[in-house]
Amino acid sequence: MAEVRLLEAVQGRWRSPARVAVVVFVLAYSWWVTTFRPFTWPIRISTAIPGVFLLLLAARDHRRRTALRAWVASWRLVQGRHEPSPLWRRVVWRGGTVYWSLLIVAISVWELLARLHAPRSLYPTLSSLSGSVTRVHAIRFLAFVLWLLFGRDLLRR
Amino acid sequence: MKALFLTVWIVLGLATVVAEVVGLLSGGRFPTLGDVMSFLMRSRVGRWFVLIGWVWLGWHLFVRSGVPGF
Repeated sequence: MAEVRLLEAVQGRWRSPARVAVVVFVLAYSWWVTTFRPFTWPIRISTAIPGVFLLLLAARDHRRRTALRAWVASWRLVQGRHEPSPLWRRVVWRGGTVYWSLLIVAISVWELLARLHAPRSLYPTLSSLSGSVTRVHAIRFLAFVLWLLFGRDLLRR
Repeated sequence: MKALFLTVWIVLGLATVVAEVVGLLSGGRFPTLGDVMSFLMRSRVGRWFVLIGWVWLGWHLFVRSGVPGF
């Protein structure tokens, strides 16, 4: 029964011609954009367009977001934990948030250190490392689509 | 120096992947990157910080790196 509902939901989403047109347009745009060479004006402008578009949508988004305390409480409800969670669960969750925070700081510091040094062959940054992978057009295209999907996901949060 | 930088990048990459996989498999006991993003985006400043970070990531990956092989 659940599988039938899921199938109907997926079919319903794809029934709209406008949605199909948007998906086709995004894929075609991503393919076209990734044909441009880096450090040129065409790639700068075509990458800036979705960036500016998302920031404009974010600026128009006036949804009221729940306060942090309410959000944590709702997260516990989703997990099916109406009663206060055991101490070890809270320790694991808070430890996880500390872990992620330290990881984000470490990546930022390491990127900054590499950026402040030269040559790039000895001090690789994230972009110089990813450059060796994204030379292939198909991978570059896939990375661009994933970047757009990530942006859409952020906008919905 | 190159070996040191590459090793640290690999360690950081593995640490990210492992944490995300643990988060996805833990049934909500350990936070995923998405949970951290949701947490950061509760506030207006955090929301703009994350969104500008997304623009910076795209700029970094597509404008400032790689040369198409054709």
